[in-house]
Amino acid sequence: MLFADRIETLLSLSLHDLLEPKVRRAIEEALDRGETHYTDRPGILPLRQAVAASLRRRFALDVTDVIITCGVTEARFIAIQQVLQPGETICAPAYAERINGAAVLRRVQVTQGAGNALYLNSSMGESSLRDFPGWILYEVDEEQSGFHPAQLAGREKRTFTLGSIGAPSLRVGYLAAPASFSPGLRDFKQALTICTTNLSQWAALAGMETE
Amino acid sequence: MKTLAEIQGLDGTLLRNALMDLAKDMPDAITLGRGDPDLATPAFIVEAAKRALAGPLPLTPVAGLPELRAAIAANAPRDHGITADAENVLITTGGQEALFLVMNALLNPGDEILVPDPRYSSYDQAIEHTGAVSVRVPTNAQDNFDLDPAEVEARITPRTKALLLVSPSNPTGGILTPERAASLAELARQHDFAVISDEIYGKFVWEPFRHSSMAALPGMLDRVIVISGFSKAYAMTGWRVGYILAARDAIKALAAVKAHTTGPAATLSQHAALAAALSDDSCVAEFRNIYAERRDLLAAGLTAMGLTYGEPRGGFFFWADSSGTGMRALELCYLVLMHAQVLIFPGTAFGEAWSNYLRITTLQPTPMLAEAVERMMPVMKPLLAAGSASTRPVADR
Repeated sequence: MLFADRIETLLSLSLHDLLEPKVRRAIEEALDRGETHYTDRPGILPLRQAVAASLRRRFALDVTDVIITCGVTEARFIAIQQVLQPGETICAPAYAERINGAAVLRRVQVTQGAGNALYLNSSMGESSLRDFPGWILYEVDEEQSGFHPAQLAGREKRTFTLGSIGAPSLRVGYLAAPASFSPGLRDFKQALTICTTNLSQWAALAGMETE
Repeated sequence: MKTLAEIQGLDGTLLRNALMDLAKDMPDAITLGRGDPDLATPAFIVEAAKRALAGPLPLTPVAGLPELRAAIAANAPRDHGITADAENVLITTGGQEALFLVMNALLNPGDEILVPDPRYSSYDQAIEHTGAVSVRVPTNAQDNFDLDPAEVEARITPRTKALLLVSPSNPTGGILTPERAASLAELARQHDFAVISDEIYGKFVWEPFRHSSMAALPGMLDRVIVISGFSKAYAMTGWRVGYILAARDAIKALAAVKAHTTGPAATLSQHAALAAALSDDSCVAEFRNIYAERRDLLAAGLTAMGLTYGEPRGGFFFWADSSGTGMRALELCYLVLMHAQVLIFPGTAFGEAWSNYLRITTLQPTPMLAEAVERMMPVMKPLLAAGSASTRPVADR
């Protein structure tokens, strides 16, 4: 009985909720450096560079402009608001629930057939791409696939890549876009949240460095 | 580095960002532009974050950490003059997201929202996203940029859905007086529109003035949506924690929108904000003294240059009339940045009509502010002296 409360607490802990020691240390160091102010709107440079390097390594992508977002949720939201116009459609062969809300707020319809844009996930594989002619929002949601739509001729300037980094509670994601979209995406990010949580960005960077 | 020609076509947020980018390339620049408190987050908040790090940090519900929502509700009488419970609170990813959520939950295409001018330009982007129309309500120097209910009333139409207020004001430093707040509340009731009350600078109001929320007026609680946060009050801009206080149904609707914009705020940041919310606010009192000293220093400096400005009754900003220089504010800001390495913002970053105004912040340590004044003096003073000579009647020359 003496330890009942403690045992109950321990049993309720999820390993997933505990940050890696390296990540915790990075946050403490960032706190000691005073990293408690706004960062640049697109995010801290070393994290943006780390994401670009990771996409280069995994998909052979030549990514020059990465925006750090508040989780992949914000990356999806920004992409949909900036890529699509009200009244347009986006095709989501699967995981439509991930983008339904963002689509409603843009007054965009989510379909299973044709669309002005296609929302794909890396876990769905190459076959889902078909011969889609419009914008592609490609979410990297698993660790294995080496396929990326931008590897196909003519698709690199039409593909947006998004994903999450680190523990979910850090709320860090990324959005890599064709260069012509970058100014609009940055401005929209500024209008929505100004920047992503400073400490979370350093934590996410430390997590990537442990890969 | 962008040239003057390249930034001349910009306004609003784009102009602010372009000027900040220019200053970033200058190692000795003193930035009196962005509203980012230079002060460190208080140590007890940092320590609370470190303690939270040792334990599990699961995702919170979208509406926020329950303890934080409850603490903000408990502080609502002190901070906003209203009573609330946790279900009246939504935690957001900074005050900026709060603003975006409210606009998107409230406004439909074709609706009209009344917005004081000059204004924080991010309001424009949030409104534009909804397809609603921003109807500008002019304010003027003679009235210390206080919002005039008669000017508001003249712009009300059957499509008016809301009135946006920010008190203390960014960029003018003005505050909403109780008399005018009561008149505006009467208009809101009479014409059945909502009031969005941005109170992010509410903890920094200078004597003899007092912060008061429209929500505290009789019959207004269900009509007013309050936006605030921890960024300015506790020097926590980088943690990204804001909040909305509103009726329960409104909070449910706003949380439904938030689930699709960013999801819950970062868990660690919410624990840090909880420490701030549970504190006795003595750190805010200390900050207030520091900012008051800086305000006095900058006021003396700007006056010595020959600039006139609205009385800064709250917040971090001076809104100064630069028409006496004979230059448009944008060119003047560029000149000040290039020759004095001091970043200030032109009025056009806060509304197209304000090409003869400057926004200058107090958000640098006192010695830096003193140096900024010293550097600006040789640039501004001759311009203002020449401008005033050229506009003087001939007999006086």
